[in-house]
Amino acid sequence: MFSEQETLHTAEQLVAAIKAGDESVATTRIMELVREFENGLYQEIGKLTRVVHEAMKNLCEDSGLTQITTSHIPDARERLDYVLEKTADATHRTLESVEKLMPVSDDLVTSGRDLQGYWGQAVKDAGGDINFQELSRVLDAHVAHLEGQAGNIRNGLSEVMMAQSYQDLTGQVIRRTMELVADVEDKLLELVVTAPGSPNAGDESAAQLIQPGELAAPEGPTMGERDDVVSGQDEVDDLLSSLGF
Amino acid sequence: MDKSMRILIVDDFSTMRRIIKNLLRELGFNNTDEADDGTTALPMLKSGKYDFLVTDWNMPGMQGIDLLKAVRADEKLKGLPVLMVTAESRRDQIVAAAEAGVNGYIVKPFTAETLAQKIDKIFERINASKA
Repeated sequence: MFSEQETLHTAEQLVAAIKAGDESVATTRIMELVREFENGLYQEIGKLTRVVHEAMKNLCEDSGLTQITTSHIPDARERLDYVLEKTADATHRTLESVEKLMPVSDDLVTSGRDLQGYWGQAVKDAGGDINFQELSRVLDAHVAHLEGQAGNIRNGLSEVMMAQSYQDLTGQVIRRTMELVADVEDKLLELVVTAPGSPNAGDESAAQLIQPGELAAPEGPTMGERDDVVSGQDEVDDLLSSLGF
Repeated sequence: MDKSMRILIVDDFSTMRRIIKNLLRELGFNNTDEADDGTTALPMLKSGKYDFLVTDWNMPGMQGIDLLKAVRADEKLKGLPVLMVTAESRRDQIVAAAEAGVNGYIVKPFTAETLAQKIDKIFERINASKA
């Protein structure tokens, strides 16, 4: 590589040669300068190539990223499927209750009007002489009917309330997926700022290793078939009773 | 069972706290308070006179299992009945909760009947041990 002074010297020689009309010396000097420029360029390309090479190598070797692509992202897809399924279930449960309760509301109006009609007719027919026994029977039937329908409304509303529990379950799953997205973002950012020669940042997967005897972190709702997970409340109860509960 | 007993509901999701609060009200328990994780719940438990704790497991800050352990380790609180209502369904977790001294364990999603049953069972057993 030329030093600045050498470059300047060569340039001065070039100018002198041109002034003197010495074409061959001028050409030699120009070639020297061009070669020098090219050397610099090749060196820069070399550096860039190394950056790309290192980056690719880190990308392949970084277990965090490998884990993300081979297990976490498919896992996240499964989780989002779970969210989709749970929200759809909750919506169906809610709509089903609403569909059941709409006719109940209509029925309350109809039965009220029937009672009113009966009363009007009874008063007319009786001409002042009302059959209280019959009236009492009709009123009792009406109240029983109201009670039944109020029960239906209450059950429907309970169902709507329980259907909302999806928000907790899907919320936990969405939260974990958001953590994954942030993780991927960090890894990609790390990759972008990695300079050649600089050692890759500490291995995060090591921190996730669980010491024997230590309980793994909570993971919220689980998806798919798993041996280490109970399938419902009955299995919880069985497990607890096997422990003497 | 004393329907006026004071119950603390701990869950990081306000929707679930609300559902549990509503279910408890349906069962006749009107004296409930809420906390969104163990860190907020523990001082409440220490300062207030709670008769029953219903807690989630997976929460930011202090987890339900750690809250349970803190309760059992506290001289004043150690006898407090604790019901866990959680989506955590691994066998090793259920065993760990049992070992930490949980009184009941419900996996989400659950039904109103399950909640009623577990509460009944917990207090039946407590009353039987007192008698």
